[in-house]
Amino acid sequence: MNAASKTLVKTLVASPERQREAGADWSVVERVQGGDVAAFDQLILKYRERVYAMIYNITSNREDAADLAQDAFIKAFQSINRFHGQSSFFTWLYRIALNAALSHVRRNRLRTFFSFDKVHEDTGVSDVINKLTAKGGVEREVFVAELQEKLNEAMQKLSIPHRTVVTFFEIDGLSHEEIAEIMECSVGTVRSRLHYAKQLLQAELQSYLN
Amino acid sequence: MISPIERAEAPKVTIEDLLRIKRAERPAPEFWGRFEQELRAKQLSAIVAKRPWWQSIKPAQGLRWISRFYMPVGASALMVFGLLAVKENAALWPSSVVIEEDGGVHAPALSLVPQVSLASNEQRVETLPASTETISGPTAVARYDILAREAEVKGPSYAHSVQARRVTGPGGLLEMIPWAAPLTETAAPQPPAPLVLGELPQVTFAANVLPGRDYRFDGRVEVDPVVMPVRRAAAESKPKEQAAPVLSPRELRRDRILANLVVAEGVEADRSRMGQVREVLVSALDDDRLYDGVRRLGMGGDRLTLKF
Repeated sequence: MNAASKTLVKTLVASPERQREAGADWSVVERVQGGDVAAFDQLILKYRERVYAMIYNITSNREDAADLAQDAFIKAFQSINRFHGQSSFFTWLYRIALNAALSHVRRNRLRTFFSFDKVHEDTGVSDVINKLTAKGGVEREVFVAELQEKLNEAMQKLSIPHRTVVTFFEIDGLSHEEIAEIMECSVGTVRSRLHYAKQLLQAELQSYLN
Repeated sequence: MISPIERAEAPKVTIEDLLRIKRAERPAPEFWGRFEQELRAKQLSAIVAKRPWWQSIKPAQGLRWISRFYMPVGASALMVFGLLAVKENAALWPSSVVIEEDGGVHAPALSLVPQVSLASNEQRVETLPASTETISGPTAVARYDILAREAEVKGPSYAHSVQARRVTGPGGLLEMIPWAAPLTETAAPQPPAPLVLGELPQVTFAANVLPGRDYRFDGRVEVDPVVMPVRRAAAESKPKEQAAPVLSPRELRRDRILANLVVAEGVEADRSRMGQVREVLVSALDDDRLYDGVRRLGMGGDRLTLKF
């Protein structure tokens, strides 16, 4: 059984779309391993936003997230020859990025600076904001900025594993199985952490919930 | 913040809805241009930078499982190395206290020759000539090196004595270490001068009022000889107690040699000869040359043998 077949077996638990992605990624990885360094740009373009968003939601700092995402891609590029398809490239890359983010958070536990990206209301969150406020114009922008700050504060109050699970599941849209594979824990642990993290977030954001 | 009226009218919002707002946090499009530029720079520097040699090692396919045990194997190796180091160095650690023949207890010392941990007076050991000469530093070390070479020829008991003197003898190792040097004798505290009662104004007044009495004072209150003649006579006849002199080990050794010499002197046949030897020794004992001149000193039964 070759590495690509193993990758497909591993990703059977994922959706067919994920399986197709894994197969496509593996072919690009093989090209990079064969010496086509420029092929790695395809992987960067494909995953840079998701990697950046994941690190940003864990660190709540856009500058740190950009640096750490770049470092994660560099590390993946340097270690690409050691990737043999034991998991999908996406899982492998996410694990590298997650480790970089967690190391950064632990190193700078006492130094927490927030810097936020802008909330784009065109991505389907306008209805949620409309539910929360009927204001418009500048007052609405101020309300959204205040809500964003409260959300990030509540996220930072979670422990690192709980914050990671919430980021992966609720924000990045990964399945329980994929999160378990990335975090190297059981699916039950993922579900338990997610449930507990949501309880804590509800307690923190009670003023915005009905 | 939402007012209560506004909240009552608002439809239900869940925590999942709030987290969708987090999902909508995205950087501006121009951010990605800068991101890519920085990433290119880092990628180039990573390609140019020389990687350490250990990162280029690719373990064989069958040996990859070893990477799981890096930490425990490393910790075990470190522990074994530490235990071996302790075991190797344990031989150099002091493990016994040397009790000298003169009764002195000395600090344990590093020993390169087998040590006799207890040398009693009954044990017949070949002792070294003592020296009253004050030597120190390299001179002493050189002298003890010469003695150590002699010890290799003369046997373990002699070697023990050499080793003990190397540590505790004059100019030995203990004298080189300030905090380990033996305590030197200090001058005995002088007794306080007797109080002269006659100089006190009260005594002068009493002498004027009651003349004819003895007001001299030599450490005790003087009493009238008429009142307590018996006690006074007893006090005068009682010999004064003297504090036992504190002798140094060198003096003790000299006394012991002379005592053995006195025993030997009791033998009738050798009375005259031993008397001469004693005179020579007594005169020589005061001289530092005795210890330097004696090459060999032995005791057998009631006999003392000196070889010059």
